Amino acid sequence: MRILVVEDTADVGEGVVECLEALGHAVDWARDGETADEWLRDTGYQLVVLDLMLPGFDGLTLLRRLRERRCETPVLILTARSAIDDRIGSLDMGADDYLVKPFDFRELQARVRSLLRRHSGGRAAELKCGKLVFDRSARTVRIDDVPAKLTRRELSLLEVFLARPTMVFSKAQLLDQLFGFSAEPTENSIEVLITRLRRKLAGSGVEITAQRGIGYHIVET
Amino acid sequence: MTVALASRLELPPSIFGRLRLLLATVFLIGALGALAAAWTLSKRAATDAYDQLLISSATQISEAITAENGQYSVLPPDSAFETLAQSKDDRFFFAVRAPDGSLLTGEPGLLPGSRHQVDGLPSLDYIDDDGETMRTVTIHRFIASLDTKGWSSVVVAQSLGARYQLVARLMLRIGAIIIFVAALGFLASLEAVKRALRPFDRIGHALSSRRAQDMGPIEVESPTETRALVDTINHTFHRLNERLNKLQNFAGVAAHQIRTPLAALGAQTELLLTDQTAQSRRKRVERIRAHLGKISRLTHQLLGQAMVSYRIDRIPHQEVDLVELVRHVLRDAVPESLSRDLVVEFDYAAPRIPVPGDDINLREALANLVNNAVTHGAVTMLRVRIDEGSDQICIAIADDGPGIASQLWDTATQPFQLPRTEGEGAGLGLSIAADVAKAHGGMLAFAWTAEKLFEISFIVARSAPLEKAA
Amino acid sequence: MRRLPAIIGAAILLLGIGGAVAFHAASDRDPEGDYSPPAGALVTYLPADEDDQGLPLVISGSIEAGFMRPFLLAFQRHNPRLSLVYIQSRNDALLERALWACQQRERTADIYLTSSTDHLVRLANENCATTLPSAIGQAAPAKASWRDQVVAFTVEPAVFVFTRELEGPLPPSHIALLDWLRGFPSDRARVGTYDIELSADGYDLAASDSNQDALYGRLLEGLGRSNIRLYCCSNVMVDALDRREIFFAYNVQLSYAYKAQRAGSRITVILPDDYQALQTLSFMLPKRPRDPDRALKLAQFLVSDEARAIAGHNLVPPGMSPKLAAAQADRLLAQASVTPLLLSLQDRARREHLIREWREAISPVRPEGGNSVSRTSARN
Repeated sequence: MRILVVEDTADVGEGVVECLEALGHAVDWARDGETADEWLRDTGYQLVVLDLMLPGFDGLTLLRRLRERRCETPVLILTARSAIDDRIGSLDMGADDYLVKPFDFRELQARVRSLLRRHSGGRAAELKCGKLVFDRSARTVRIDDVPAKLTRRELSLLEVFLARPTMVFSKAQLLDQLFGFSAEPTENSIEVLITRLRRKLAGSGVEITAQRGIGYHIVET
Repeated sequence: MTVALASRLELPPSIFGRLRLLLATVFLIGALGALAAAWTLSKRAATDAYDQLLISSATQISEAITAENGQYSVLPPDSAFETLAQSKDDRFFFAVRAPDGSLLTGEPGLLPGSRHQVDGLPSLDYIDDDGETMRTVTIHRFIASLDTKGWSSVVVAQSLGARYQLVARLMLRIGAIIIFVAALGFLASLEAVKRALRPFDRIGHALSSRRAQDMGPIEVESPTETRALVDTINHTFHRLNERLNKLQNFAGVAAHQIRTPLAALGAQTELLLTDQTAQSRRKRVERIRAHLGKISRLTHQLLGQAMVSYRIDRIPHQEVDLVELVRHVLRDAVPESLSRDLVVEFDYAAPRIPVPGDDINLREALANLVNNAVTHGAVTMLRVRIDEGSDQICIAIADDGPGIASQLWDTATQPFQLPRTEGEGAGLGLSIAADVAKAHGGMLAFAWTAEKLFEISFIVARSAPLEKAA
Repeated sequence: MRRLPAIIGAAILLLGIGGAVAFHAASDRDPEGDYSPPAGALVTYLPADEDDQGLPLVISGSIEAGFMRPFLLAFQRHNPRLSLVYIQSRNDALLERALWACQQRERTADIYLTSSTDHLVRLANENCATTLPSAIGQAAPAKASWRDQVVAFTVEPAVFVFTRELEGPLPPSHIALLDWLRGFPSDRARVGTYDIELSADGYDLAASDSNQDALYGRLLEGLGRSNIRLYCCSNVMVDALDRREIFFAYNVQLSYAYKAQRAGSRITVILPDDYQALQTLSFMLPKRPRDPDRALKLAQFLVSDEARAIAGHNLVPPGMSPKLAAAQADRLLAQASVTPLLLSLQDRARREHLIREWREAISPVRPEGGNSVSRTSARN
């Protein structure tokens, strides 16, 4: 995936870039708003990590321009201002998530992964399959209009399948989407997760089936 | 134009000045009204009195008309002249006419003011004589003798000097009384206002003359009307004092909380330079990272606390939908990087639960609670439930973690009272949440549920809370 | 108005130091009013001692010039640059002319002086007078003034005058007079008095008598029984006494009687002690005066202490001790009165009634010489 980092503070920018490259993404680093705006016009990015306080024009302006161009690239805001107004403001302006500085780089990685995952397969608010309804904004699942008690990882896994219902995912792909390269969980933990999910989806008209040797995909029964 | 007008009609700056203006206006209008009434009444009285004299003289003259041998004659009596001369400086004329209209005596130019012939009934009028107004009275009188009969007429005219003088005399006395009474009333009212305002001066003096450090109650003699004001001022001082004490305490503890990890950080960094092996360096870095995390959270919470207390005092409440708000909080406040896997449940009684409140403070408070539960508590599950009471809303946040020991519940909401023996938090999260709940007319409550879950209830009032009564 | 041919072409008497000073200012008809003396008037000119200061002050009066002369000369001592013209006419003529001037909005004089105060009161009542500063009215004898327009300055009481030859005690009062007259047979009681029909002064005094309700009828009866002659004027009556044409004159103006006494007439003057028929002498400024300041000066002078002293001097018999004289003058001046009641004298009906009553009681014998009612007695 191609990611644009917009950050004027060198030490922070360096950390963010390295951290994202460690996830295996191609990262461009713009140090001011104008450069970033220019690059955003020319290049298709899958994600923008945006600092709000920038020389030139600020992050909010950049964000507004981006959304005015009907560009739906997910944006993760970094802000040092603790005033929550900033966060709310940026969310209203069309940011997808935010992190307040100082932040934990592991959290940054997790958020980025989550954002990329969520934005695969379009921005539909609800994913439906059989009797199952996945509310992406509330992050809840209802089967036959009854809330299902899914853990967060189960939700993430289900979201991966539902976002691309026709696609078959290998264990490695799933591991990558859910935990990242550096994560400790093994392919075995994916199997455990899938087993738990299958149990919770019983009777939902949705089943996760294994294609031997290839991976898993979701089917409607 | 209205601005110019408003600035021209600017009110005096002080209450006393405004009341004085108001009183002066009222008394002036009152006095003018009374003077106008007195003027009208005096004029009527003078007119009536002198009209009676005029009628009396006309009657006397008319009674002196006689008819003998077909000849009419009149001899105006002394008394008629004397009656007319009672208006000492007034000019007068009269004309007496026989039934055929011939002048028996008097001024030929003076004609009867009325042709209405009713015996002895006077009719009054005004005429103009060479630029001077004169009052006239006309009396017709039926004269009959053996050989002749008919209506004779008497007209008497008199200038109005005596009437004016009487009015002037009356007005001089009545006017003096009215002005005296109005002035007395005005001065008495001013004095009353001055006395009524005196306690305010005393309070002002007591406030301005005290030392800046003095936070004790002000001691002034004050009547019951200003007692409430003095009490409020003293109460405010008391609260300010409490707050300053708290702030001082808080600053002390905060300083300790910030300096300790900074010192540890400094020490660990020094040691890092002397560490020889990669493994020991790595261990050192881990510890540095832990301290940094602590400082970060502390900074975050201190800033959050500052923002929350600022907003509690300043920001008016608006309608906030708690369901939507909690949904956002759950999304934002549960770290993605959490190594444990969790079931996050969210139940609510209605699709929309609006309460009056401050959106951002509620978010901050609930985010702290959720974050606490996730990072320190929840092992496998976090449950948030919104219950609607008749006048309160309860947001219950439950987890299956170790919770807070019951004996710490009373002090858990005090700042820096760490509820956990080996926690990472600075201990401000619960304090912030408690402050916000209080500002929304509610409170923070701790409980163990039947399923042995630790539950924190964030309670807010359904309707606008009474202005912070603490 | 009667105009006797004998008096048409009035005698103009120029009195003055210069003697031949042309009196043109008053004879021209100037745009400010007709100041020319009317027919039958007697003009006295008092030129300024020093340089003449413009037009003279024109005084129109019914009081005998000789009576006014001491007043005017005293006034002129204070205003030496002011010439005075005193036009003396009969009371009725003055009233008629003043009324005419007022109605025509003309001027005939700067100030009016008269013994018939009822005339001036009538003029004021007709709105023909200028209002004076109230200090002038306050300074008048007995504060007698009306509307601050008509102001008294002295009085003229009526007295009994007898020839010196009469024997026995003379009556000191009106009641005593009636008894005294009864002592004479009616044809021998040669008595003189005013013809009130012709003389305004006589009318005033008769009206004054008629206020004495109880006595007036008896008085008329008593006079009517005697051999009565009627005269136009006080001085003629005194002359008649001197000539022994009559031996008693009723209601002679006091100032003439004393003046004749001073001049050596053999007469006895008695001021009745029960009441005095009395005229108030007053002045008035016409409306729209030509020169109000100078007329005002004269008005102020006429109520001054100096004028009061001159008035007092006229009211006392020659040779009276100063103390008694002052008391008598004060007593008489205190009777000055100017009131709107005087308008009753001007009422036509009342006037006709009074005269008719008087005429019915008194049937006169024409005095010898038949000239006693002549209106020109140009002697001073």
